[in-house]
Parts: sequence; C-alpha cells; structure tokens
Amino acid sequence: MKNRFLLYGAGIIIGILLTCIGGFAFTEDNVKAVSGVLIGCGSGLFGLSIASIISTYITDKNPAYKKRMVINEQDERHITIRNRAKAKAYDVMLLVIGVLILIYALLNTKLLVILLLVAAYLSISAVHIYYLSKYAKEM
Amino acid sequence: MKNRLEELRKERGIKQDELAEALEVSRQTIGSLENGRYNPSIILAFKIAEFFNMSIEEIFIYRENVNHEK
Repeated sequence: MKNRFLLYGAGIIIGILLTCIGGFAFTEDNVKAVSGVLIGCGSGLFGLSIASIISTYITDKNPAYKKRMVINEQDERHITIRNRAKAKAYDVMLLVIGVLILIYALLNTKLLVILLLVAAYLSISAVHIYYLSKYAKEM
Repeated sequence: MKNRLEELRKERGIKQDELAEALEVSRQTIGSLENGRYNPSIILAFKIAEFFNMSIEEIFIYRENVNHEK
C-alpha cells in the first residue's frame, strides 16, 4: 500500500512539474505545441494520481466495498458486455478512420498526414489479424 | 435458454445479493440470469449447480429439450 501511495505521490509531483515546465519554460510561439502537450500530460497525470489515491484510500478502508469492486471487475457478464462494446467500437473506429482517409485524400491534405492515417489503419488491422490467428491456435 | 434459478433461490429463501456473493458474481448478473437475458458460462453454470446441490440440467433447460418434451 505504501509503495502505491509513493507511486501516486511521484505521479502528482511529476504532473505538477510537467504542467509548470509547459506553462512557464516553453513560452515562445515556436514551441507552443510542446507547451500544450506538457500541460495536458502534466494535468492528466496529476488528476489521475489524485483520483488513484482517493480510490485506494476508500477501498483500503472498506474491505466489503473492495471485495464488491473486485467481483464487479471480474464478473463474467460485465466482461462480456465490455468486450462486446469494445468490438462494436472497433468496427466503428475502422469505418471512421477509413472515411477520414478518403476525406483527407479528397481535400488534398499533405501526403504525410494521409500516410500516417493509413499506417494507423493498417497497424490496427495487423493487430486484429495477429490476435485472430493467436486465439484460433489457442482455442 | 430457460432456467429455474429464481424459483430455486426463492424456495431456499435466498436474496439475490446473497446468491451473488456466494457465486462471486454481481447482483445484476443474477438478475439477468433469472430474467433469461444472459446465459452463464459453463463454469458459472457448474458453480450454480454446485451451490444448489443439483445437476446443471435440473437448473438450466435447453430450449430444444423443452420442445422435445412437448
């Protein structure tokens, strides 16, 4: 438990540091994007660490609640629902990325942007095929 | 697939929460099983059968069997 709190504490400190560096060190116009990314990542890490500390504190103080959380997490119906939702989202994501590639191509967007999107689409499809083959061998 | 889960649970005077805790599943899962909206995995079916000290076939009724009996 102490180790987890140390980890979350480190997350809070790193989050604050990143936000401060993004807000005060990178102020020039040519590094505005870096500043935005640092502030975004820093505040995200800060919020996540605070939420994790609160959640860990509540669950550790209340064993019955912790047990219920574990059961809910491992509940087979919940897992099935999550997996079905993910599968639907995956189908929609491929469709959306495909349409985006077409729109960017029609808008004469920079070739690099289109190639990056195509690479993302192909990577996702490759992962899909890899797991299809892996699970087919396992089951 | 139909089942007699609700009937057996009520016969024994067990609450959904208690059954859920004994089977280590959520209360919603018990509700869905009783309503017939969700079919359990074979492992959960065995757990349920073990809990009620019955065979799986006595609790879960496969639709084709029902038609056959009719």
